[in-house]
This record gives sequence, C-alpha cells and structure tokens, in this order.
Amino acid sequence: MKPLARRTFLRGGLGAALALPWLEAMRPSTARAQPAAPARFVLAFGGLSTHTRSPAGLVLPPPGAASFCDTLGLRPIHRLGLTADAALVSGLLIPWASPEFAGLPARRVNDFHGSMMQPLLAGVSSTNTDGFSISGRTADSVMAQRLSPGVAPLAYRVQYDFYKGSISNASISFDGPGQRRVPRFSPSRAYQDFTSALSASEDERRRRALEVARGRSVLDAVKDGAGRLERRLGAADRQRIDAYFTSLRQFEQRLAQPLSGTCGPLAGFPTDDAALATVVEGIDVRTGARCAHPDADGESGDENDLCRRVGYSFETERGNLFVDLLALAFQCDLHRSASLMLTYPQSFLSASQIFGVDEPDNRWRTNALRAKDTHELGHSPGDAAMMAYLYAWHVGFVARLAQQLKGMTEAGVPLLDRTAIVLVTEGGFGRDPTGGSATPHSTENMVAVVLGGKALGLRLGQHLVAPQREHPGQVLLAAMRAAASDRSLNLGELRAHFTPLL
Amino acid sequence: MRRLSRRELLRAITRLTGVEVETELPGFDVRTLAEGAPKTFFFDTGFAWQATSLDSLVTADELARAVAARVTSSPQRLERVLGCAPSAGREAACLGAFLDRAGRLSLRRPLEPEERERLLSTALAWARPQAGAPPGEVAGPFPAAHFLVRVLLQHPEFLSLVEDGAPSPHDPTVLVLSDTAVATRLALLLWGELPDDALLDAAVSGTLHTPAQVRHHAERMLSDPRARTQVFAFHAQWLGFSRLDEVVTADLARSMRAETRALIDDVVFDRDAPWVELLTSQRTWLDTRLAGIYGLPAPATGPGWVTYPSPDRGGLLSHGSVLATSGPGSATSRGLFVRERLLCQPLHTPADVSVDVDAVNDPALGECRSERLRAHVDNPGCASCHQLIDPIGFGLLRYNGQGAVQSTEADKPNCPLPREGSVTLGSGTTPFAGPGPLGRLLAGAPEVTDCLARQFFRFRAGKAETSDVDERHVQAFVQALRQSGGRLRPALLDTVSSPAFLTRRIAAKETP
Repeated sequence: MKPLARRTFLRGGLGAALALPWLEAMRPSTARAQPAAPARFVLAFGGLSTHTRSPAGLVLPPPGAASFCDTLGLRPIHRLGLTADAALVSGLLIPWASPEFAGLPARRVNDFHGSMMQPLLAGVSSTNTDGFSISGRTADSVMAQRLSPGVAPLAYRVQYDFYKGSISNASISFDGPGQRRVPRFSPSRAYQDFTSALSASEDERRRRALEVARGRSVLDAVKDGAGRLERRLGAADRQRIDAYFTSLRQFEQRLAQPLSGTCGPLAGFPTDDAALATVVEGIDVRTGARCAHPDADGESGDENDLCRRVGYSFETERGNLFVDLLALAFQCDLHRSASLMLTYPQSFLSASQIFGVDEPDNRWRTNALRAKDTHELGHSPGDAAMMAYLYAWHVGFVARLAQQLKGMTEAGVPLLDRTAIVLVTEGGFGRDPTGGSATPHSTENMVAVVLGGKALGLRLGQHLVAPQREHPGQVLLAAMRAAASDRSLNLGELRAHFTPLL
Repeated sequence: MRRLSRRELLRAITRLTGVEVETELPGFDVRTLAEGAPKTFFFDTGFAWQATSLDSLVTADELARAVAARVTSSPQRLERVLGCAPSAGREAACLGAFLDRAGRLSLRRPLEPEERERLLSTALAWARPQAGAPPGEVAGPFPAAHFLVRVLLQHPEFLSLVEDGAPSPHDPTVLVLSDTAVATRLALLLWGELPDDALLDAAVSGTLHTPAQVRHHAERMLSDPRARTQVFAFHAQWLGFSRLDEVVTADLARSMRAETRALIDDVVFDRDAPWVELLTSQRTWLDTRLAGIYGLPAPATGPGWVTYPSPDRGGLLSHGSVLATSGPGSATSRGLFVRERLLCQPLHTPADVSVDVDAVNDPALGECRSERLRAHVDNPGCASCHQLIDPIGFGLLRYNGQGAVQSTEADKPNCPLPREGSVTLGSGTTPFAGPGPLGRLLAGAPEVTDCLARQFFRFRAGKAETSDVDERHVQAFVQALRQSGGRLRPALLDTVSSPAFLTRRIAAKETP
C-alpha cells in the first residue's frame, strides 16, 4: 500500500475514520503482520498533596459507600460514569532518608517540595530537592521505549509557568539523568506537532524502515550466536538458553509488531487553523487578558491584583485541549506513551481562578482566597475541602482523557481498555521528617488514581488501601507492567509492583 | 551458566570499546542485566536467581546501541577502537581485524570461520549507502562498526559465563572445563573482568588445563592491581559497604573506602599477613576528614597510617565504611550484621515468626531506646533470636554511622548508650566494649574462618552451598587457609590451581 498523505486526510476533514494508521502505513508492505492492538501508557502528575486524613467523602470514600468515586475529589470520574474503569489506591508512602526506612528503594531526602519527583516518577532515590532535574528515566520514557521503540513519549505541561521565580523547561519526562524532555506547554505548538507528524516526510518513512531492518539484522546475528552456543551446551544450560530464545522471540515479535490503530475525529476539536487560533491563542495571556503573568518578584504593588503573588493562564482550558490532543495522538498511533504534567510541584497556580472566586454564590468566595495560590491552601488543615476540590480539578483532566479513549476503538476494543493512565501527586498527609506529624508536607498516605487498562489485566472498579504502605511508584510499575505485558520490567530501584492492582 | 554481573559487564564494555558507561552514558540502568539474588545472598555473581527476560534483552539492546553510537561518534574514536584506519579500500581488512580481536575477547574464543564470514559480510552490507540513513551518517565503516559492536555486546556468550567442556573419563558426573572456560572463570574470579591476551593465548593454544599451568597465570594475575580491586570488591559485597554511597556523602564515602582499601591491600597483598589481621589491626589509614570524625590525630603529611591510641578500636569493625552500613543506631542491626555476615548464622526475620515487631517502639517502655529494647528480652517471642544479636550490638552502639564515638543517643542527652556488650560464640559468652575487642574475639573464633570460606565460595560459585560437593569446596578453602597460616593470597592461589577448579559438576538432568 502506498504511504498515505495525512495532511490530505486532515484537510479533507476528520469526519471519516482512517483505515490504516500513520506508522503502519509507513512500514514496508512485507513487514506488515496481523495487527495486534498495542497498549498505551499515560503518566499524569499533579503538584499538590491530598488530605487523605480529612473527613471521608472529600477524597477517600466513607465506609460502605456505594461508589468509591463519589467523593468530592473523585467526582469527575463518578460523573463521567468511569467508576468501573478506575481504581483508587491510598495509603501509599515514599520513604525518606531515615534509619526507619533504611534499605528501602526510591527514597527521598527530607525537605519536602521537589524531593519526591525523582523517586516517584523514576523510582530512583533522590539526593536533593530539585524536582526539576530528575536523575533517572521516568516511567513515560521507559514505556515509550517499550511500546514504540524509536518514538519519543508525548510530553505536555498544562501549567504555563511556575509563577514564582524563574524556573523554565519544567518537565516530568526524562530519558536519563538530566536528560530532560521539554514538554509542550503551548496548545497551538502541540497542535502543529500533531499535524506535521501526520504529514511526515518520505525521509522519515525511510528512516524508520531502515531502523527496523537494522534492528532485525542485529537480532538475526544474535540468534545465530545463540544457536551456536546451544549446540555446545549440556541439558541444564540448554534450559537457560531456551528461556533466552523465548525472550528473543518476544523481542522479535515486538520489532515486528505493526503500529496500528485508527485515526478519527474528536468531537468539537477545532480542526481549522483559524478556529484553532481563536481558541488556542486566545488563552495565551502572558500579555494581558484576564489575569496577567505575575511580576517575577511577586511585588507588583497592587493589592487587588489577583496575580500579585499567584498566576493563571487559563490552565483549565489549556488542560482540556491537551487532553483532547493526547487522545487524538493515541488514536492515530503517533505515540504510545505520554506524560501529562498538570501542575508544578509546589504549584503557585491561582486558587481564585481554580475555584472561580468571583462567581456569585461561590462557597469559597472569600477575600482571603483572592491572593492565595494552590500551594498555600494545603498548609491549613481547615482547607481540606478546598484541597479535595483542587484534586478534583486535576482528576477532571484524566477523567476527560479516559472518556475520550473510551469512545475510540481499535481492533474492536475501546482504546481505554488498552491504555493505562496513572495520576500521581506530590504529597499525601502525615509526618514530615523536618517537623510535624499531621501535615501535607508529607509523603505518607499518598494516593494514586488509575484509569483504563481493563484489557491489560488491571483490576479496576475498587478502592485499594496499600497493605504494606507500598510506594506510589509501585502503582506506576503495575500499570507499566500491564501495558508492557512484562512482569520483569522495573522502574529505577523499584523491582516490585503493587500486586492488588495486577 | 550465569550472566556477567553489572560490574563485570561494564568493565568488559570498556575493555572492548573504550566506552566508560557510567560516565559517558549515565542514563543507563544496566542493573537489570544481572541481579535478582535475595538479600541474604550478598554477591553480584549469583546466577541461581537470574532469569532471562524480555526486559534484560531490551536493556542489552539499548546499551549496545548507545555504546555503538559512542564508538562511531567520530573518525578518531572509531579508528582508536578499531585499531586501524578503515580508509577506502581497506574497510574489509580493518573491520576483519577488529572482528578477530574483539570477537575473541568478547566471546573468549576465536570466531568460527563461517561465523566470522557471516558477521563481516553483514557489516559490509551496512557499510553501503542506505536509503533512510540518519542525517549525517556516513556510509562505510561507521554503520559497519556500529553493527559489529551491537552484535558483540548482545551476544549471549558475551553476556554469560559459559562453562563448557568434556565429561571426565574417570567420573561421568564431572565435566572437565575447556581451556577457554578456565580462562574466563579465572579472570572473572581474580580480576572481575574478561581474560587478558596472555590468558586467552594460553587457552587457545591448549596450555591452560593443568593445575601448574593455571597456577602460573594466577600468580601473575594476583600481582596485578586488578586483583586488589577484586579482593576489595569481595569484602565490600560480603560486609555490605559496597552500598556506602547510599548512606554517606560522596566525599566521606571516598575517605572511608580509601581507609578500608588500604587495610585490605596491606594485609592481603603488601604484607601477605593472616587474614584475621583485618579484624585486629591496630593501625589504620586516615585522611584529615576521617581523622577528625574519629577524634584521632591526622597524619602530618596527607593521608597515611595512624596507630589507634586505644585498644577500643581495631580492624575493619572500627572503620567508618563498616559502621555506616551495618545499621548505625540499632543494636539489633549491628548484632545481626555480625551474626549473619561475619559468623554466617542467619536468623529468622520477624516476618517469619509471629511477634509484634513494633513493641520495641512503644513509648510506654521508656524514653531511651536502650530501655525500650528490654521488650526484646521480656517478650519470649523476641528473646529467642534477639538474645543472640542485641548484646553484640550493645557493645558497638557508641560508634555512630560515621565512625565517631558518642556516649548518648542523638538529641537525647539523658539517654546514655551502653558501652559494653557480649558475644556468644562456640567457646562461650564473652563481654566486650567496642569494635576493637570484638574484632579480637572474632579473630580467634573458628566460625569466622569458616564463614570467610563460605562467603568466598558463594562469591566464586554464584550460589549458596547446597550439596555435599559444595560443602567440600568450602572445607577445602578452610584447609587452604589453615595450611597458609591464615593468609588469603596463598589460599586463593591454592584454590584456583586445584584440580577442582578445572572442573564442574554436571547437574543430574544434564547430559553434555
């Protein structure tokens, strides 16, 4: 089959489903085999703590609740009818540098903000609190290599800026120590990526074909070597070489696995450049609009300026667009792994914008909130309900993604069933090794939400309390192993996954 | 057949390609290529728990690609690795020479002619201009060398220690190792890396299959600095200070490692003294940093030997490296360290017995940890094991995780730490105070020599001793130590040049 011109397809309208996916169409016809619906993986992160010791119903369900998702924090999942496609894991712990946790993998140093990014996302113990430079390979990168070798993970960041200081290029996607993948944070740029990927050049097609051919060539030589070795070995060692051959065959199948899928429209997504500019560019408000970017030093002098110490750049709208693009990228099989950084750790996003403080009858309409950032909310136990709402704001994006994927099918299976989405957060509630026994500056009692992956073997539709105070990275690892169909896969120092989930 | 350990693999890659993976490719997690042993097995050589998985192959593939990319990153580097200039018209000759050399080193045998031909012809096919080649890729030797490096680094004979041979004419249950298998076994044991050219030459020419022939090479190898590094690695893994970087700063870890390395080098190699001096030595190698922490006078001119002013300190048990990694602040952990690692007497962990492991943390038992530890004695469920370990730890509690002496618990001046402990050995229970006296007690205990032999067997064989044959190997090493007056170097030499080292037992189900 002749490679397809995707731009022609795009311009012709997204109303018709594409018969063959982009990458599959680029492969030589001789390489095509029976399509097997591949898995997808999403690592989502929110920079907030979850008050899991707050009254039941805010984040964790009360005992005997009909639906574990019918809480303030998880309501987006409940409302979209995704309870059976979701799992909530609570009681998780990232250990810190203390004799109490000596020998445990993926520990953090004792200062809170940022110190958990590396152990959480890459499973590697941290030695500093710089959460913006991860010394390890993050879950999305591991999974991209596993699910679509040679295709980088998609990386989006919803929060436009740190809003307090000059941190640039913040990312949760790393290919190795310091090897940061700068995420897209402009929806219009992300959309341009998408369209140009669909119209990939002939050179790119040839490059990938050559890469696959070379990979096979190496594998053939290795197999030849293994065969020679097998003839020299005794029976006991032959059993080992048999296991080796089994893995080689898996490896070979992976090389041969066609990148498949169907590429269809997303309802309501702006497909016309002009329409997109209206929607997307209109929300880039660094230069004005509703809430300007704050002064770098946080001292504009205007006490009434909502952005005096906090910031907002229409992150809600940005998030929705990124989620829709991500779903489309999965449907078109442009990527099989993605990271979605919803907010920065220690997020200084404007609380008033998230909670719509200026709207009439808002229960949180207080002057105190006007100047608050979402980070400050977490410091008072009295704000547990607000924190649950803030969590819901984050959950809303992954729920929206799950809903989109549920409506897409591939090889007759909803895409959501072969996609594992995990939302993890910065903290939980409990002890802080630098002081305090009941504080959100803690990595005790953390939660993770898993959505999708039913066909991958994930056990969904339940609230699971970590029986051994497992590491949240082990929840990630369960989703990773399910998506990769490989129980030997590891995440940094983490060698065991959260077994109640898989 | 076991896979190379991470340590062995990285050294082998450097030997083959000059690429220092840890510094040049820091993003690679190569641990999955050789691990899986339980915590009670201390060495990275354990093969009994290794299983080939897709993950290990994926990691090997990624690593091989990355190393190959480094090798072909510039004409200068490529020429250095190939050992010749692959100029136009000389590509086949140059690549062929590289393949002969690198193939023999990586697979520890000469390539078969047909095997060589196949690899070389595929490499030369890669050398031809390819549609779709990445921008900047120069056809010719670059992709060809890339192919050869990738294949060699993923080859099962490179990644594994293959021990082939022929059945013994005297005993069908014994396999007499091939000369190349002996070369690999010897090099990995004494150096932790692949055989050098001299050893491979001997193996290929068939002069590495008698005890005398092996002894000749072993003597040479034990005089090489790589043997010192390997003996240090054995002790670091056995005693747990290989994970020093996880518990102290990099600078302090460097000082601590230097102290311990100096003592091991001195006792085992420089003076060829009895091994137990590692437990009793009254002098140690210090730099200013460590001397300050220990409260000892620093050597006048840079790092150097210092004699302990008091017998409270002595030997490895006084070293920051050991104190930092053996459960500082916990009498139980310190006691367990001595019991399990130095006496080879594993105990059941609380997970295996029905006791309340949090009982000792009950604040009602007292403010001080030593008071609360009474729960270990008062609770019969705890006492059966803890009476064997806590008393040992009490005698070491005053030495903190950096090796400094402290008399009270951290941040609790009202909680004095015990000074005295006791250890129960075959000869009875003896009180002691501090690592020096404990080291001297252990040095006189036959259990410790037996444990050294047992741990060395595990390090060498990559498995725990599970049969009478294994036990005979352990006792043979005990005997070798005895005959050498307790000196490790000659015992090592005797062991590797014994007939047993040249054979291996054929598993019951195995037929060659």
